[in-house]
Amino acid sequence: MEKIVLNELIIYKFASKFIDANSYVLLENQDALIVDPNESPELETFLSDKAPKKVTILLTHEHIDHVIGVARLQKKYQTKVICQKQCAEFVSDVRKNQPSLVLVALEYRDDKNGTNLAQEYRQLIDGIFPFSVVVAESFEDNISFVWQGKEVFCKRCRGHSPGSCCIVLDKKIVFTGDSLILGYPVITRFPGGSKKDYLTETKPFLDSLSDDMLVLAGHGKSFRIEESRRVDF
Amino acid sequence: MSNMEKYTKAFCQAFEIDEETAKKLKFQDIPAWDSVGHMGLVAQLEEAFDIMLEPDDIVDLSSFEKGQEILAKYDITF
Repeated sequence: MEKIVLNELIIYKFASKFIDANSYVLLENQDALIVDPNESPELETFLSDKAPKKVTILLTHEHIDHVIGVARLQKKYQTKVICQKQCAEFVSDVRKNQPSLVLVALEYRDDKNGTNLAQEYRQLIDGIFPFSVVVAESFEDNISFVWQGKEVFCKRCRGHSPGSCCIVLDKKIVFTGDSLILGYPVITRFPGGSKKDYLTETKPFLDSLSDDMLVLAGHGKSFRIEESRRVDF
Repeated sequence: MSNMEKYTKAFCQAFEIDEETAKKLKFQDIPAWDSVGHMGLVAQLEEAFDIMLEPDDIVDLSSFEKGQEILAKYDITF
């Protein structure tokens, strides 16, 4: 777990052992805000210790490595899931939430590195599938709300997937999911992905954000948005 | 369109290749068939044949030829 402090904001980051997908947690007054819950056992223990009374879950997009922890949270806590409309349609369909996306990547990595991650992953996720996510609120283009006195703004950002969005917190932090990762080109080859959508919708939105905004991405390390501007898509 | 035509078309569309290349193809033979491209192929096949592949079958789908064996489990004959 990594603790990220920005002025008065404290964000806890949990990276998945398997595919390095990041989950982020803010906690205030026994109220938790979680972005992209993964399967990390450390995240589960952290939440059990803190015992939040209310859990708001925000999804940056519908891919399984970013939603796999939702089912467990929905069994244990009073949750409210918010995401883009197409993301909601996808994650609420039990047939779509398949572990295969991660398994294929892990098998590929195992072949390359001689590891046994796919088998470990199968054991860890046993009992999670099949599942569907109960979405409380979805939005077409954007949604704003206040969480613990902080403004949260979610904006549809298609390209990586049809249900992708970016989440801006208090005008200081942006959770970009897989729509912006430092050092890696955005993948638009997944089903429903579109380079054109990325260039016409997501890139202009990211370009509109201030240089010093902190980016908490779906994979990898955090960075200031200015750093990403040095790299072309 | 026959099942073989639909099957070949799924490969051609997923990887933007011609039929001749598709019919000899194995996982990682071309840059487009990596773990990301694999998901595109799975989506194309599922849509073409209106099926949902089991996770193990998705992982085992390692060549054009192997894919036909896998689809036979879903009562798709070639």
